[in-house]
Amino acid sequence: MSDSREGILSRIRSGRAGQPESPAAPPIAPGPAGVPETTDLVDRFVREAAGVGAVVHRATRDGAVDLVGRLLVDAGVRRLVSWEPDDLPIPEALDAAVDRGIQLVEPPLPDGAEPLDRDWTTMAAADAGLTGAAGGLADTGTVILRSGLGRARLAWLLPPLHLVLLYAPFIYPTLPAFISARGELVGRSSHVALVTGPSRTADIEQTLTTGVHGPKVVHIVLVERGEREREPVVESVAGDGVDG
Amino acid sequence: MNPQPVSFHRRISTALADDQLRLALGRTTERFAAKRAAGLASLPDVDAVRDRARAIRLHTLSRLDTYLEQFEAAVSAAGGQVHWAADAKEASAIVLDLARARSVERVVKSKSMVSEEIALNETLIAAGLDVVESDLGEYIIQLAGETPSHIIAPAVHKTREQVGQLFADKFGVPVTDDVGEMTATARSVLREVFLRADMGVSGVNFGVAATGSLAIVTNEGNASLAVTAPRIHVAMMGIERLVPNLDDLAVMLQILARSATGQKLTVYTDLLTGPRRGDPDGPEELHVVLVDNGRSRLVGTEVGEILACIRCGACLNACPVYQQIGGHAYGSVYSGPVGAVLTPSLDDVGPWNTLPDASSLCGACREACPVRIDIPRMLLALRARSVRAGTAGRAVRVGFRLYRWAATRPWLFRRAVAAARWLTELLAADGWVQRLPPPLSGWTRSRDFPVIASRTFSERMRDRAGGAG
Ligand code: SF4
Repeated sequence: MSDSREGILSRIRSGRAGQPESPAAPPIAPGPAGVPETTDLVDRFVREAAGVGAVVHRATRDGAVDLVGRLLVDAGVRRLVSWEPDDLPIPEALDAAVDRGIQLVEPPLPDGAEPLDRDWTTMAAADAGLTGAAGGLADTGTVILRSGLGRARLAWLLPPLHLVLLYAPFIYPTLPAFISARGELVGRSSHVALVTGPSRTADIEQTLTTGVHGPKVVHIVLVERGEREREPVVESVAGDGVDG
Repeated sequence: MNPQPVSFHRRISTALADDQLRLALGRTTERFAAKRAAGLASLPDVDAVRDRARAIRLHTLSRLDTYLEQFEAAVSAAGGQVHWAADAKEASAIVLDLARARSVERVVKSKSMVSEEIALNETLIAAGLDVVESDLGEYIIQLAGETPSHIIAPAVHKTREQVGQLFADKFGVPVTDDVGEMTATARSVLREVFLRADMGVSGVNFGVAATGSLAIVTNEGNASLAVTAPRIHVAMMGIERLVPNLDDLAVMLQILARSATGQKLTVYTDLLTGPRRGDPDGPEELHVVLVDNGRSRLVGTEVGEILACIRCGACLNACPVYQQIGGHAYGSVYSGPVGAVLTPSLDDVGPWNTLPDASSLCGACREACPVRIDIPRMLLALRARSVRAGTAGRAVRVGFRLYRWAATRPWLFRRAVAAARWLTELLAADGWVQRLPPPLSGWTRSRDFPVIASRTFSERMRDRAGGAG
């Protein structure tokens, strides 16, 4: 095996020999490319996320707690797989769900470093997943999720409905801007996912269909600070179909 | 790559005669091309981003050995393991050995061109493993026992009616032409596959040298599930698919989806760094298989630039030849303009020397390419190489030898032109020749040949010089 390693590296080196090194790409200017300073990042985020088929709800902190419970109940959710409360931007959101009689489904061995038993059947039976975003991208309507101790990846992948809480100040203009500000998060988690709308496919004649493997429905609850006080919530924006 | 028993010309004729295929291709390539244009337009300063993306790729290639070593160290530091495979056989053997040593029975795959290139499925299936493709398009292709016809849309050659019939045959569901119903069927069948698999095999869109991270993009989320539920993740990666750091990755991701499907970002863009660390899910083990298979030989050659390719598929949709014949006619894993360069370059003993001929050198591919790869230049280089190597068609070889002989003797050249003019005038109707005699008849089989101009270029230049003086 190490023979192959040496062979590959030496073939590359002899191909390179005598060739000038191509200059490194200039560092990117992480500025607000595409999102003019004056534009409200939150507005842009809401528009883009709705455009890719997510349903976005803007809420104050208190309003959001209530909203999470209501959205789950309205969707007929009975079993929920959730991140640990401390990993949600609003820990009480989970209580709101439980208070309404929604049953919590636990990932197997949630705190173990031991190999997992990997019986996913209970998780696969969940109707919804509840998570919290580490960031949002305004120019694409993306939420950024990262795995960790209390943060199951399957919560955003397996159930037919994904409900994600996003704290508005975490919204960045673009992916380069997020990486430049918070890039270290990528190395710190084994899995960082940039999720842009519901799971979709166009593999059959380019006809767009959602929910092929991941969630069919994505609700983003956008938690804004007090200055936009509105009681109890609610402004919901849903895209009218997805631009394939 | 599996050589096809039938000649390229024969495959082209078959493809052109297939109305179903041309209908599906027409519906798809056009839509892709339009979306790509809109997607790129949504990126402010798109030209600067493309220039930067090209610079990143060329820079990486120009010190690929260093970045590979850095990447290997970073993957290990994150708890993963890197394996080096010189060729297709070794790459497949590495995966098979990993599977055997860990008593793997079920493998779930997410689409990856490099696995197709090394024919990984054949090896694993022959060894008795249960291997299922999870990308919907690939799954359809696997069910039908075919091979993919497009980098981004492997089932582009199939109509909805054909897929509905296929599902009915395989799963006993009612025949439908409702795409939503077909998708729901696939979801429930494949759900079981993800959750019961022991090993997930994925491709890699980009590896990040500085952090050892892997970027994998899918719209369906099938790669995300394949690298999360099973206990082992094996990532198959061409050695050229690196970027130096996360900032560079962000630039590449900004153009990849836009060029491939016109989306601003792929639905699931997964950045994976090592196996799980106490997380409640995710793989216990991460293995990255670095596949050479002919790539390292290209570094520094006249076709080395093709290694900058990010497999977006934009050049396929832009190509007038691909639009007519589709991917299968190429007979190789990589089709379209990129395939016409990559295939004969990676596999220089295979029967691929006619692939570079399937181009009118119109330049649409270079125009569409997000990293501005000069495909027409490389197609010409490969054609020249096959003429030099004596593998070009006999008529071409003899023709060029005759041409050189005549062109270096002005008196003879003038007479030859005069004779050709007389001949074409004789055969022509309305200034066009519909049928040339052999050995030139191949040219007029699908297009007309113009009558040679009444005055040659050098005659006109002489007139001008005379007039001016
Ligand atoms: S050659 Fe360019 S356009 Fe074609 S697939 Fe590669 S990156 Fe895309």
